[in-house]
Amino acid sequence: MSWIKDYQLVRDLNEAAELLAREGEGWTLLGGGSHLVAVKPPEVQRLVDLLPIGLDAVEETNGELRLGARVRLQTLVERDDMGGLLKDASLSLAHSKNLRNQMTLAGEIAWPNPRNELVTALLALDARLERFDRADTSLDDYLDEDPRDGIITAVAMPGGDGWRHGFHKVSPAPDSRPLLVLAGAARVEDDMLAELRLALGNLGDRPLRAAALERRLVGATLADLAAERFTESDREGLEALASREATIDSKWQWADALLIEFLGALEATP
Amino acid sequence: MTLRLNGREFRVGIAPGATLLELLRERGCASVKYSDEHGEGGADTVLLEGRPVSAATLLALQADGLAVETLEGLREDPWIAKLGEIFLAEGAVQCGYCTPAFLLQLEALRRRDAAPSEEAIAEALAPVFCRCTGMVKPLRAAKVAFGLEEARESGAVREGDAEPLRLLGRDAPRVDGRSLVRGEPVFAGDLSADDALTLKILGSPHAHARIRSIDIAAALTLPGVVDIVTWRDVPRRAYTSAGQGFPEPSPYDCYLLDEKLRHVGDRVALVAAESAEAAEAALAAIEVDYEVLPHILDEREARADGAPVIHDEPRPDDPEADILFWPEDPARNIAARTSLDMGDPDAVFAAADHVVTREYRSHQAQQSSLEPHICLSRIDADGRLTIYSSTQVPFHVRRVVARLLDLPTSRVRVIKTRVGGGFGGKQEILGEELAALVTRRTGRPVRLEFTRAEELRAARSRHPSTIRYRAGFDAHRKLTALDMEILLNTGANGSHALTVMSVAANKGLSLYPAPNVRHRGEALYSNRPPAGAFRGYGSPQAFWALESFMDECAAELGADPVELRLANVVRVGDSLDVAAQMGEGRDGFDSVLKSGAAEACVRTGMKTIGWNAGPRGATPEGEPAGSPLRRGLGMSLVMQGSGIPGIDMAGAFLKMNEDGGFNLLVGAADIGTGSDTVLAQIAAEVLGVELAAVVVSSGDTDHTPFDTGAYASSTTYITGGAVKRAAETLLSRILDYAADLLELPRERLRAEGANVIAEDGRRLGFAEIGRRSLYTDHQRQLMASASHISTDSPPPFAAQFAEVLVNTRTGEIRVPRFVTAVDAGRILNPAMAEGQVEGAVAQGLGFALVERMDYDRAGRPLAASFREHGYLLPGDLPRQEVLFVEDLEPTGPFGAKAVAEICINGPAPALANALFDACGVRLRETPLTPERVLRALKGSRDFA
Repeated sequence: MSWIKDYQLVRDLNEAAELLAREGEGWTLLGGGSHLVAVKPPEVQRLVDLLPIGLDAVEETNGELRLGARVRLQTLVERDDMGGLLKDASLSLAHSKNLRNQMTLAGEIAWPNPRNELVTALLALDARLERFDRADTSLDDYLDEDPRDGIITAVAMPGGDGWRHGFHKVSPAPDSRPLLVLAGAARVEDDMLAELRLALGNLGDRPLRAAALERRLVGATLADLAAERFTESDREGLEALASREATIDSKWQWADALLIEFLGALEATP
Repeated sequence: MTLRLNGREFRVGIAPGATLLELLRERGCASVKYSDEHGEGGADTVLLEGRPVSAATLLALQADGLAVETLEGLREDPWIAKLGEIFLAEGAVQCGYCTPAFLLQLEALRRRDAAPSEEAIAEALAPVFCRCTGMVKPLRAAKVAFGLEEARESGAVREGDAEPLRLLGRDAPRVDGRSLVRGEPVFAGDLSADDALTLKILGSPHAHARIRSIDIAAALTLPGVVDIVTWRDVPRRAYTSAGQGFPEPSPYDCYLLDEKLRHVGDRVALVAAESAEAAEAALAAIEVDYEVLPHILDEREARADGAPVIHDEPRPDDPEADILFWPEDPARNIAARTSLDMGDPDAVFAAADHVVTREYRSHQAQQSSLEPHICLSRIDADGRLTIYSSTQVPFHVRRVVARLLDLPTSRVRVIKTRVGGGFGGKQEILGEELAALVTRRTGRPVRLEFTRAEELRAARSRHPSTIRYRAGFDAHRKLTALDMEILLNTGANGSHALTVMSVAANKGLSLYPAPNVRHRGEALYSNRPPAGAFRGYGSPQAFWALESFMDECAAELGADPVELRLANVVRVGDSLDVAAQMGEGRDGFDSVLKSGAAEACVRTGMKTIGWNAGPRGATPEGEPAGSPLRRGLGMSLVMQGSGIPGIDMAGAFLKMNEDGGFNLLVGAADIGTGSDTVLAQIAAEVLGVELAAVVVSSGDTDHTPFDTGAYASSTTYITGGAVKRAAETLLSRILDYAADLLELPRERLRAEGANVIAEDGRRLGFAEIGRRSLYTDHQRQLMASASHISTDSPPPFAAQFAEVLVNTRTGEIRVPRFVTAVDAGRILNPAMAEGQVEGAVAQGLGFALVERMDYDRAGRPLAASFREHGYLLPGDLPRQEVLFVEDLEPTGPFGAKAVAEICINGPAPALANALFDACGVRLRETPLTPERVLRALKGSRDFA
C-alpha cells in the first residue's frame, strides 16, 4: 500500500494534459515535491512528473525574462535576476538549499500560500504565465482562478532599463517566516517615479498587488515619497486578514513601514 | 527503478509513494536520518547529482537513474575523514544526529568552491537545524576546515581559568565521536528487526471527548494489519509519563489508553502492522463515535466555576495508592499545588519603603530535538522484554513499563541508544510502554517512531505560566519580603507539574533571598497537549518573571538595575532557606551556599559587552537620520541547581583489564551532552591513565549500575561524584594488589602515569598488574563500584547580556550580540561546556523570539512542522561570547557544578530588558513578537 497509486514521467505535454483530464483518478502535477511529498494530500492519488520535458530554461529576449516552469529556486538564487528580487524572495521562502534545489517555480505558484515570497515578488514583476493549450494570463488573474488549473509551462516578466527592485519583510527574526512581505519594482526617470509595481504577501489570503497605491504614486518625485503611507483609498481592494501572529492594524502598520523602506531605498539608490 | 547509490547501481522495486529517505534507510544508509516530513531539519540530506537535497521530501522515483551519495560512500575519503576529526576537535558534535548532514553539505560546497567565503559556508550549513550547538561550533569547525580560522588549540587553557589538572579542565574529543562523524547506526531509528511491526497511534481529533463506540472490525481485516488495541483491551492502571524517581512526584493521571480523550492527538487506538502504509490505512479505517465535550485551553479558564472537569475519572485501585502522587484537586482542574511561608510578609509589605507588584506570562514551546521519540521493543532469546530507546531515563522506563505490564523488573531490559537530542522531552515515557504492550500481545518486535507532527501534538513541552511577583524593599534597597504566585498550564496531564513549579519557586525565590517569603502555586489542567520536562525545568519561567521584575523594581526605586541585583544576590555562606523547604515532592535539605561567583559573572559580562559604553536608547552609529532603529543593552542574572538533592543517585562500576585499561560502567544517559566523555575524563584523571584507556558503557539497565538519568543538570555532579569515588577505590585496590606483588607495605607505593612505583624504584605497569591479577598472581578482578547522592545541589550562576536593535516602525527585535559569563565551578571539558552554553542560549533566544505552540479555537495545534513552531536559523543567531568564571565547588567532583541547563534561563528577560533600554517599552508576555512590541510602542509617548 502506498500514499499514491501511480507516478508517471511524461514525454510531452499532451500526455500530461491527457492524464490530468481524467476524472476521478486524482492525477496531480508534481513540481519538486517538497510540498506534496511532505503533506501527502489525500486527494492526490497519482502524480505526473514533467521532468523529461525539461521546462527549465532561462531566456532573456528583448529585455523580457522567461523562466521555464521547472526552474529551481536555487537557480534563481545563483542567477540573481531582476535586481536580486527573485534571489531575495527565494532565500526568504526557503532558507534551505536542499529545498531550493528541489522547489520549482511553477510548484510555488500552484501551491497556495498567502505569504509566498516568490509569488509576491513575481506579482511585483508583473509576471505572465504561459500555460499549455491556453492563452497566457497574468499571475494576478491566475491567483484569482478557482480552481487554478492547467499546466504552467513558463513564467515571463518584462524587463527594461532603469528598474530598481526591493524585497522587504517584517519577521520575528531575520530568517524566520515573515509576517508581512513587500516586493517592489520601480522605474525612475529624472528623479521621478515613472512606473511602479508593488505587491504585499501575507496581508490577505493570497499575495496582493497594491494597484491603487501604484497609480497614486506614479509621477511623484523621489523626494516627495518619504512621507508616503497606504491611505484608505490605497487599501481598497486589499482585504487584510488577521492571523494568530498579527492584527489587521499591525499588518497595515508594517505595510507602511516596508513602503517607507522601499521608497527610501529608491531615493538612496543612484 | 535504478538506484545509483554511492557509485553502485541497483535495480529496486519501490512503491510509487515511497520517499528517497525510506528507500535509503531500507538499504541501510543509517547516516541519512529522519527529522521531519518537510525537510526542514536537514538530517535527511543526501547529494543528488552532487547537489544537496532533502531525501524526506523527494520521491524515490524522482531519483531514478540519478547519482545519490550518502556519508556511507564518502566517509573513507581523506577530506571527509579529516572534516569529521575537525568537527570533533572543535566541539561541533553534540548529539551527532545532524553531523552526517553537515559533512555532506560541506563536501558539496568543497566540490563547487575549494576556498569558500564565510557567507558561503553559512549558507551551506543553513539547511541543517542543529538544536544542540546553537550553530556556533559547527560554523567554526567548517571555517577551520576551509582554512578561514585557526584550529582550536588542543587542551587549550584560557587565562583566568582555574589551574587545570592533567586531563580535566582541558578539551577531550568525544569518546563516542568516531561513530557519530561516520554516520554509523547507533541511534534507535537505525535499529531494525526483520519481523518488526510498525506501531501507529490513532490520535484524537477533538480536544475533549469521550469515545461512545469504536469499531475496529474493518481495519483488522486490512492486509498487513496484525493488532489493534483500544482502551477496552488494556488494564486500567494509572501512571505518570514523567521519568522521575519513585514514587514520582507527578500526579498519576495517565492511562495506556482511555475512553476519555483530553487533547487533540490523545491516544484513541494503537495499530500494529507489517508496514507503515498498512498501519496508516488501518488508522483511517477505524470508526469512532465521539461525544465531544466542552474544552478549555487557558489555565485561567480552568479555574472558573463550572469549567469542564478534565480528570473526572474515578481513582483506580492500586496497591501502592498510598505512596503515589494523585491529582491535587481534579474537580477544580488542579493537578498540583505548592506553597511556602517564611516570616511575616504581610507585615513587612505593610511597613516597606517600596512595594512593587508585577505579573508576567510565558508561553508553550517544544524541545524540538532533531530526532523524534523512537523505540524498538522485542522479546529476547530468553523470553525477556528488551526495549531499545532514545531516552534520557532508561531505569525509569524499565520500572514504569514493568509496572504497567505486570512484569517483574528483572524481566525487562532497557538499552539507551545514542540520543539525538533530548532537552527534557525524552525524560518522559512516551511510546516505550505502547511498543512493549504490543510486543507482549503479539510476540513480535515492535517499532514506534513519532512524526514531527505527532511530536508537536502528543509529546511534551514547556508549561505556559503566569507569575506574579510582589517585592518589598527597605530604604537601603534591601529586599525585605518577596511573594511569588505561580499558575502553570500543565495541559491534559500533570507530568512534571508539581516539580516544575517547585523548581520555579525554589530558584525564583533563592537568587535574591528575602527574610520574609510567601509562595502559592497551582498547576491547572487544560485540553492542550501535556507540558512536561524541558531544559531549565521551571527556571526559564521563573527567571523570565524575576529578571524582568528586578529591572522594573530598579526603575521604580530609581536604582541601577545591576547594583540592585548585586545588593540582594545570594552570597557564599548564605543558607538556602527556600531550598530547605521546597524539595521536589518532599521537603528539601538544609544547605549553605559553598561556592558562587554571581557578582564576578556580572562584572565580567558587563566589561565584555561594554555595559557602560556606547549609545543606548539611541540610533546606532552609522544609521541615517530618521532611522527607526534603537540600540539597547539588557542583562539577566540566573541560577540553576546541580541535580535534585537527596533524590538523584548514581552508581558507577570500574574494572581493570589485562592491558591496564579500564571499563567504566555507568547508568547515566549521554544525550549528546558529552557526559560519557566527561565521566571517562574523571576516571582517567583519578587513575592516572590516558583517556583512551577508559572505555565507557552507559545506559543499559542489565549491564550498568542504576542512575536516575540525564536531567536536572545532574550527570557531572552526581554521576561524576560516583565515578570519582569508584576510581579512587579502584586505585586504592590496585595499590593494595601491587603491594602484595612487590611484598612492600602499601604506604611505600605510589601511582603515577599508569604505573605503581615503589620507594625502592621498582615499578609495575598497569598492564602487568592487570595481566597478573587476572591470570597468575593472587588472582582477582580488580574492580570497584560506588554510589553517589548529595543533599547539596550547588547552584551554578550566569550573567547574560544582550545587545538588541529595535525597529520602532515594525517592532522587530534583532540581537547582534549575546554575552554569557558562567560560574559552573571547575569546567571539566571547556569545548563541551561552551557547547552547552551556546546551545542553551540559542534555545533561550528561540523561545524568546519565535518558538510557540498555538491552537485554534477547537484546540487543534497550529504548528505541525519545525518552521510552523519556529526556530532560529543560523542567520538569526547573534555573535555569542562565553566566559567561564570558575569558583570551585567543594562538594563537586574536582570542583565542578552543572552547566547544561542554566543558560537557557536568561535570554528572554535579557532581551526584554534590552528592549526597554532601547525604546522604553516593557513586554510582560513571551514571545517578544513584533506584534507585541508594536502594540507597546503605540502606547508609548515617544513612539506612538
